[in-house]
This record gives sequence, C-alpha cells and structure tokens, in this order.
Amino acid sequence: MRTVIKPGAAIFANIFRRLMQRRVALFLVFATAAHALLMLTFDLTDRNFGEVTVGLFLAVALPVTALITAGAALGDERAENTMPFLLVKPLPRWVVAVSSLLASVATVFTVSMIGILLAWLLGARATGDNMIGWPAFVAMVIVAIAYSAVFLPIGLLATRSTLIGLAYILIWEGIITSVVDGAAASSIWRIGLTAYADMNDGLPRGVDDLLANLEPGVGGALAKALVLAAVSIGVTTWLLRKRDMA
Amino acid sequence: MTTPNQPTVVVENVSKWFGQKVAVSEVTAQFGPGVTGLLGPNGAGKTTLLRMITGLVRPSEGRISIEGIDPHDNYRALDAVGFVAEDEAVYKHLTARKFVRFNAVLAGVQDPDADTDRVIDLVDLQGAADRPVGEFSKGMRQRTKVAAALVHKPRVLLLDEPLNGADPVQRSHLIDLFKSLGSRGYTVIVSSHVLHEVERMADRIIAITDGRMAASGDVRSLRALMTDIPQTIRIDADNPRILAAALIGTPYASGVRLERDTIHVEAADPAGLARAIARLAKQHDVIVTRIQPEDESLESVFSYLVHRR
Repeated sequence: MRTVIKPGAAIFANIFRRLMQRRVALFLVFATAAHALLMLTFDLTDRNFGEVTVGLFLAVALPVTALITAGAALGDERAENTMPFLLVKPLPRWVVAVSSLLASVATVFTVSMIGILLAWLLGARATGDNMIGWPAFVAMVIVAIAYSAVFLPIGLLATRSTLIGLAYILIWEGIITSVVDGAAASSIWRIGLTAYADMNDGLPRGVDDLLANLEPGVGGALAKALVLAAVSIGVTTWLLRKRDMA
Repeated sequence: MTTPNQPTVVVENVSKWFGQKVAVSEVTAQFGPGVTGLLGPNGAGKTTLLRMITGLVRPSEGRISIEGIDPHDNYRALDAVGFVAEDEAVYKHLTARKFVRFNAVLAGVQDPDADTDRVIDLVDLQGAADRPVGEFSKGMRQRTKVAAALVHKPRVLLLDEPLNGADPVQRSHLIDLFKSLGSRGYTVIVSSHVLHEVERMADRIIAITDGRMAASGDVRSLRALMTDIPQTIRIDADNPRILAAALIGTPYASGVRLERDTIHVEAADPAGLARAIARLAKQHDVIVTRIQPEDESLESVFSYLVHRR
C-alpha cells in the first residue's frame, strides 16, 4: 500500500494545482460566492438565508462548479496529451482514478470555501445562530463527491463533458426531475439537498418543493455519494485500462 | 526478466485500426539492446506502434510483451519503460526539476531527488532546472521529457521523434546520449522521419510505410536486399572517358554517365561491377582513385522502399 501512497499523493497534488490554476477557477470562486454577495443586499433572516443558499448555491453554482472541475480532472490530461506521464508508469490505474477524484473534490471544496464562509459569517451575524452555515458545508461536500464521481469518467470519455454536464443540469435536473414523479431520485444535486433539509428540519417554504418526494437524511445522502464514488473509481479504472489513451 | 540474448520487446503480428482506418497492419518485430530506428513518413504508423508498446493503445490484434510481460494486462511491465511522446505536452506549471521529480515519484524511485539531479545533468539542463517548463523552447521541453523518461533507469527507452525542435548542438548531444544508452545495453527504439538522424544513431532500422513493415536491418543490408534496383556507383579516375567507354560494354553496368572527371554507373550487380572495374582499369591502364556508392544513405534507401511498394 505504501508504494501507491506517494505516487497517489503526487498525482493528487498535480491535478489539484492544475485545476486551481485554470482561469475558470477564479470564475468558479465568484460563482460559488454569488449567494453570499447577494446576502449583502438585504436583511438576512433564517428563511431567506435558506432560500438563497438552496436556490442559488446548492441548486446552481455548486453543480456547475463540480461538473466543470470533475470533467477537467482527467479530461484536461487527455486533451493536453499529458496522459502518458500518468499511465506509462508501473502504477495500478485505480491509483490514478482515486487521486483524480480526490483532487476534484478538493478543488470544489477549495473554490467554494470563500462563498460558504462569507455566507456563514453573514448569516451568523444576522440571526445569532453560529451553526447556520454548517448544513450548507455538509451539503457542499456531498454534492462535490457525487458530481465529481459522475463527471470524472465522462470527462475522460467525452471532449465536451462540460456541455454534456450543463445540458444534464439544466434539462434533466432542472426540468425533468421537477415535473416527472420519481425522477428526483436521479438528481445528483438533490442528494446534497436531502442532507441540507435533514440538518435544517426541512427546507425553507419558498424552495421546499425542490425536494420533491425525497426523504431528508444526511446518512443516506453520504452513502449515496460514496456509492457513486466507488462506482466512478471502478468505471474510471476500467476506462484507463481498456480504452485507447492516445 | 530476459537474458541478454533474448529480445526485450516483442511485437507479434500486431494490427491496430481506428474505425475504418488501419494504422498498423500485421507488424512483427523484436527489439533488443542497442538503438533501433523506426523510420517512416508521417502517418506511417510509428507513433501508434510505440503507443501500443507503452500500453497507451491496445492492439486490435496481436500481442506485445516487454521482458515477457504484456503491458496491457500487467502494469508492472512498465517498470522497464521510459517513454518520450512526440507532442510538446508537459505540465507547464511545473519547473523542469519538479516535472522530472513527479515522474520519478510515480515510477517508484527510491531517492527521487538524487535521480532527478542525475538525469537533469545527463540532458544538460542544470541551468534551467528551476524554471517553469511552460517557458521552455521546444528543444528544452524535449530534453526535459527525455530526463523524465530516464529518471527511473528504464531498460527500454521509447522515443517518438525525440529530436523535434532541438537545435543542432542539442541534437548532437541527444544523439550521443541515445547511442551511449544503446551501447550500455538499453533497448532504445527511436522513431523519426529525419533520415540522417536515424542513420547517425541507429544500429538497426525498421522501415514502416502505410502501417506495414517495409524492411528491417542496417542501412547496408537493406540496400543489399534491393537487388532489383540498380545502385549508383561513383568512380573517380585519371582517365574517366576511357574507363566509362569500357564499362558500357559490360553486363554489370545498366547505365553510365560522365560528369567532368567522374563516372556515375548504374550497377545492377555491384559486386560484379567492382571486379570489372579492376580488370578494365588494368587493361586500359587507368588509375582509379575512388569507388563510392552514391545512394547508400538512408534517405535513398527509404525512398526506394516507399516507391517500390
């Protein structure tokens, strides 16, 4: 096991640094801080804090951030022809898959931190509840894992993974899962929403219909995200072994 | 592991097609210690063949092994392999030293710092080692990639157009390095379309055209294989007109051309022509000062091979 920790850590650090140094990372920092900046413009209450956090951060900014990041984790390696540096090595391919997934999650976590912390600070000051930002933080971690799990192998396979992901978020998650009974279970960002709802005893009234028929629950949400991560590692490893990586 | 007499890399009846396009077709070859040049025009299938040996591309048919292990089934085969890809891709945000060290860590090198320093010296990059690779010229990037490929002391070095972008001094340095590695027992496989460079560094040449192996051997033996194509021989003599007239009447010369004091003979049978020159020179009292094949360069050999197909 020790023989894969150092290479795995090196791959993690390299992909994390590359993802953070892209110009789009700065845009993603602003995108994930948009809800916090919006909170500066009105008097915050428990309810409107929740509405903005769910409606802007969890439903829009975070999924877009996670898909752009995860799609690029290995997608950029392939697009920029740097894959041979990872794969022509005496190293099991699952190490590359795990390291990439962790790097993607860590990047989403890092770019979202300013928005999370700023919103937390503003919410705590306005409401006196020092734990007001904790549910959004937990939901962010779960959504980052789930989206990274789904879009890591898609980024490896498809050159336009971001477009595919945006279409998925807008059409499937934004429209179809809201109008088709039972489809909400296939919505990735709602995995995080169930955790958020559980930690807040439900969703604020203005956005409570977003949960559809899903049961709130942090444990279940985390379990779903981890299952997606395990499947993603398996699929990505298989792709790295069996597909041409020219 | 293989013994010294066994080939290090074995390619058995390997084909690769991408959809309808056949990139490599039924190539069988064995590679052992020394430098082997993979020679062919762009699109001939050299890069695909090298990438199949590295495990990056799976053969559609056939089998590849490195020291007896299939790199597509067992990643441990890649412990023996160092690879320099054709493109300029590097991690631009890393310095050359960090880039090479990254490759050392991934290859499981015991002391990455020491081995990084060693190969940076080897490719003569000491002065630029702490600059980001993104600032490098194409030639310096190539040297950085060569250093990264060598950092774990691989026994098989696969180089896809490694001299691209290098200036003449760097080219000369890299050619000497590859030749030295080949003479020290490394299996070095170099692909190139720059013919005179392959000629300078390779002990053996495999010519590929249209995805197929056109020929293999050293330049001289490849040329000798082409018995149906006349060789051009240059002859310098003190009285070339008399010798040229005498050669026209022999069955060994299919064409004779005189330029100033030099005779150019199209020889269908070079060995017979050599004997005839000696006999005719003595018979006509002509002093021959030089006999030299004009087209034994790799370029002309390759040109023949391509056009013969």
